[in-house]
Order: sequence, then C-alpha cells, then structure tokens
Amino acid sequence: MSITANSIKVIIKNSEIGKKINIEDLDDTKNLYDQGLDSLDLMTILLIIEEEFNVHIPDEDIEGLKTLNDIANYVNNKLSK
Amino acid sequence: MMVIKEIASYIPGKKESNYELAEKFNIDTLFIKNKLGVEFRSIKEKTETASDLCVKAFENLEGKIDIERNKIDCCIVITQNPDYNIPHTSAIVHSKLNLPTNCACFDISLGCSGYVYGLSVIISFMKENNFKHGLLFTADSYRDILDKNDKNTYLLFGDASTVNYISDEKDSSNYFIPIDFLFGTTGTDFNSLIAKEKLFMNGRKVFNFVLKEIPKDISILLERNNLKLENIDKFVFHQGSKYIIDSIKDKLALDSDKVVFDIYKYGNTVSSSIPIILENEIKKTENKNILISGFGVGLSKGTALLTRR
Repeated sequence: MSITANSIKVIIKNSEIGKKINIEDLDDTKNLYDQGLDSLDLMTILLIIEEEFNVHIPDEDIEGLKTLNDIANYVNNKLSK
Repeated sequence: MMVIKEIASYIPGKKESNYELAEKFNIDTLFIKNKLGVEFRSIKEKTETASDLCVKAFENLEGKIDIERNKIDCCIVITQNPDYNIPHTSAIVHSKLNLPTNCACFDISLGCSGYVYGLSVIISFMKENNFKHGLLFTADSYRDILDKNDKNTYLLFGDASTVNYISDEKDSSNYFIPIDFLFGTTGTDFNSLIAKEKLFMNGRKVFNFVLKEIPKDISILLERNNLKLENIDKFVFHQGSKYIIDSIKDKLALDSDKVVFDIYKYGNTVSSSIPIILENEIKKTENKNILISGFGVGLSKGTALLTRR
C-alpha cells in the first residue's frame, strides 16, 4: 500500500475542502497554505489519511508537511517500516 | 414520566467582535464566518459568577412558565468554573433562589459533554428518589481563564447559562423525553484541553477525537434503537465551531437542514451550547426525534436520543 500526491488530491476532492479548492489547480510541490488551504483543512486531510492508511501522524511531525509531496513521502516512509 | 418541561437561557447582551481581532490573529472574515462560526462573543460582567448566571437563566425560565420554588426537589449545576472551590455552586444558587431545605443540590464537573451527562443524571436521580420537579443548570464561563493572545481559544468562547426544568408529568405527550444515552472518555488525552492557569487547547487532538468517536457513537445509538439517520429530525451537536460541526455533517452525509449551527452572535458556550439550541428546537412541532451530542474536555463524549411521543 502506498499513497501519491494524486491520491491525496482525490481525498481533498471527496471532502468538504473539495467544494472550495479545484484539485486540478493544486501543485504537488507548493506549500498548501499558499494554495488556498488552511490549518483546519490540513487537519482534515491528515485525519482521513490516518484512518484510511492506518498510520499515526504525531503533532510534532506536521511542521514538515507543507506540500502534497511532503505528505505522500512521509506517509509512504511510515508504511514501509 | 420525566420530561424536559421547559428550557431557558441567558446570554449576556455585551458582545466583543472577532472582526476587530482579525489583524492581530492574521485571519480573514471568511475564516471568522465559515470556519470559526463566531463573529461576536458574549461577555459577562467581570463580577458575575456562575451562580449569578444561573439566577439570570432561572429568571428567564420564570418568564416562560410558572414555577413553584418551594416544590423544587433538586438543583444541579454543571460547571468547571464555579463561584468557589468550596462550596458547590448549586448551594449558592439554592440560596439565591430561596429553594426549600429539602431540595438536594450538587454540581457536576464536566465541560462540553456536561449537558448530556447532566440530563441523564438528573432524570435517574429524580426517578430513584421519587422527585417531581428538578432544575438542571449549565454555567461555565471561560472568560477568566482565556489567554488574550491564544488564537486557538480566545476567538471561540462566549458566556451564557441555561436551565432545564425537568418534571414528572402524568401526561408526557408533547414533551421531549430522553430515551437512550451513550457516554465515553479518552482520558489519555486529558491534557488536550486543560486549564492550569490559562486554558490550553490542542485543536487537532480534540478534532480527531470528535471525528473518530462521535459518528461511530451516533451509529451505535441509532442501531440499538432501530432508527436510521433519516429518522432524526434535528442533530444538535455541541457548538464547538462551525468547522467541527460541518466536518461531522460531512462525515455522516447529513442533510444541512437537519444540523443546527447558530453561535455567530455569542460563541462557544461550553455545556450551555446544546440547551441554548434545544430551547427553540423542542418548540417546533415538526421535530419528533432529536439527537444531541456533546464532546470536549476530558476528552469526554455523551450522545443521547430525545423523542416526543
């Protein structure tokens, strides 16, 4: 099991956040906060990922999760251990 | 049959605007309206205590229904910001309302789940002791424990109080009756919402707790009562913030018309938030089944089904 930036976009599209963000406009390498998302949106995305992929993302690791690629790499790293 | 005979609330008229704090906390008007859902916070007078707030709610109750104070069998106050550590605030309310000496008084120390617990406790207590008339107060002002520089908490909380008049009625038709409760606690996260000196909240921990636990509990409660989501006329969740209510609504795919959110003008009032909304909802004839759910400090949760026969 692995996660990609595209699968995170699908998560966003299927959530409440998808109503305000067009996922086609999201750049995998840019800071999500610069693309119309806020800290509450990130909280929602991380919770869905935690539940769908059965991983725990501690608060102290969130600072490093700024882009879709950051999140995908972080989760894949957890899943491979 | 024990019924919720009437509910009254008191929301202080003095308000503070969150729009005036937008620049300080680097937020915009859309965040205030669509995420927090709190445009203004109700502010009690500095000298007002929990018992004062209870008395004001009671005065509003007396404006709606005749109460024979000498017939009140019990008085319960839900608060974590009492007048004093000792004695219990309900004793002070007892004194201020001149309730009879055979009236039992005690406090319940719970936050945002407090009303649901309190409803179960007062009804069980009254049934066990053959009481006829009881008062259940909520009054938990966070005003004195808020850090003015904490974005996570300062913009959310407002002051208010409520009172439920619980009565043993021979004809219970037209009144709401709690028919089932479900409670729980995730004590390992007790420090996610804690006041040592000032209030601290780990918003993500609370958010995750609510989104993981509350939809699950709602499903359990409905299933064991042979009900489905579509059988519920109104969902009255603790009014923590608009975002958390929208997130629960989204997760359960609930109809927006059935989910009440209305704290724009006064804020998150802790254990008072559910009864403030219920005060209006129990009067609407179209409502037969109401689901209430409180969650927060503890981290504690309580969900209940109310029905009108």
